[in-house]
Amino acid sequence: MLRAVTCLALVLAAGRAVATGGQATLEANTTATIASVDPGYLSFNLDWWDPVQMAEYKRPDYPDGCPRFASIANRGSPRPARPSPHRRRPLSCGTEMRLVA
Amino acid sequence: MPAQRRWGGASVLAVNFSDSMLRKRMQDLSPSFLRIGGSAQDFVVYDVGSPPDCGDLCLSMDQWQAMHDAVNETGNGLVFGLSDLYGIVRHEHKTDWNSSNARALLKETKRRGLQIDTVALGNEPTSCFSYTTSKDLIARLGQLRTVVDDVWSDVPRSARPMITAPDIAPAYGDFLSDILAGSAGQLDACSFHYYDNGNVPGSLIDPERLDRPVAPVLQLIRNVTSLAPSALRGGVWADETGPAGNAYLPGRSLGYAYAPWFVDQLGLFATLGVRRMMRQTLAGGYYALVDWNSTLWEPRPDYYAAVLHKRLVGTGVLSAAARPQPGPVNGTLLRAYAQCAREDRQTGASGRGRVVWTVINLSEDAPWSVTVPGAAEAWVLRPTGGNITSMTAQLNGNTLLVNADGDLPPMEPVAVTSDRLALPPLGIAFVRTRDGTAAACQ
Repeated sequence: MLRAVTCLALVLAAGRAVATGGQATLEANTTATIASVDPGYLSFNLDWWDPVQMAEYKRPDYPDGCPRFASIANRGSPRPARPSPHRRRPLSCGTEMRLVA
Repeated sequence: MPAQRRWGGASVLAVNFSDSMLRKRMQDLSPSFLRIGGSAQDFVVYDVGSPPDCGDLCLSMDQWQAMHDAVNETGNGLVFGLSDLYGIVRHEHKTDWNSSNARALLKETKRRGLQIDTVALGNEPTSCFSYTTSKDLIARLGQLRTVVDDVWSDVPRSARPMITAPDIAPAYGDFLSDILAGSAGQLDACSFHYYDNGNVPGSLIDPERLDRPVAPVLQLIRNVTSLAPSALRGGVWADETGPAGNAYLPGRSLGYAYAPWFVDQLGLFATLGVRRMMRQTLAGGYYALVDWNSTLWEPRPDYYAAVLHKRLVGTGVLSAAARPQPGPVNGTLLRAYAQCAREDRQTGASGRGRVVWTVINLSEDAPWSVTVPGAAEAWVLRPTGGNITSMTAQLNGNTLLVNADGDLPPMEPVAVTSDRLALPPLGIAFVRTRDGTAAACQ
């Protein structure tokens, strides 16, 4: 009896863990290509970031999180009084820019 | 985790390009392009010609040589982001780019006989790092064109390094249009960056979120077609794209969660007409393809997905879809792409006429049974233990781990029986047809 109950519990648990599946069919038009990529299409990056910059990034005097690299490149570029006319969307400052839809 | 563990040994300035593990990881992704770039590129000074201001971000020519050696000896190419802020000190009203340091670097590169596939100029010029206007960048690109044409004057333009820009998000349509219109004769490729997938696992497998790049990227490609129809021999590239904005977020790797996003975006961008997609990053930051803090540079699940893609997927892109039948599972959670197969470097088998599908199950709890057209073989990835943030993946039921020498494990397919592919929750399948009858792939 105990074994049967345990078995039932396991079956029920398995049923919760993997829901009922879906069914689908793959389709493609194999008569013509719609685009072509480079042989090196999948490629990768290495970045310049280092601990000095990471520390700079967290400086409290840049509340928007934008470092000036003054202590790194020794060529500070103070933030202009007004944003660039091309800064039309919010920016995320960092290694990369995020698209804000 | 201390800051230096995020980037220290993986920063271009510090990375040991002779490291055998780094080279194994690069070689297993060849042929690829290694892009050297990122926000700090605009503050790097090249230590050639005795520049007076080679400070903390100073690229030695020994490191430059080592970078080239690693790229060439692993069968890859180099895309290098040049600084576009050299000489600019706004508070002293010095606003013109001084190209002398870039020219010195490229002359030294040519003198050494080193190859550069592409040079980029400036990283995300609209960002708060740069505040560069389109007018400024157009002028700088004109200067760079002159530099490249001077240094490689002994070869035709088609054999010179390509120039790409502007490396901003595709949503900055006005800036992009300005650059394309003003630099049509200078550019060889148009490159953009894309990050909008969030820092939580759920957003990385959200079909609506995965589709967000469609409209802006298509608009960008339309702009390229209309404004620079013939000049861009390199086409449009996503030369920096990652699973989550900002390398130090979310404070830890999300492991397997990056894999479905990555494989989906590889298929999606190819379908949209993007010619190259460069993943941020191989090493460095929490979103890296490898655990570069480990002795063996242990690949993460998305690295294995990248290796499979590199081995199997060719250059021809097909119109494809997964057609779900009405049922209990949301059909938008199953996504599929198809491309012509690549010649199999492992077995030497021709890819001619064969098709490779990438099929992604975004559901965390529901499997799919997928009908495959004809005989096929499959490589099916899934997170170990079914955990979306697992740091390891299983391939056809076997956990993927490198051996003691850091070499990848065997990655063998299984036959798809009765034309039915069983795709587990969060499963990613690469399915290669056995016959060679696809006319588009001959």
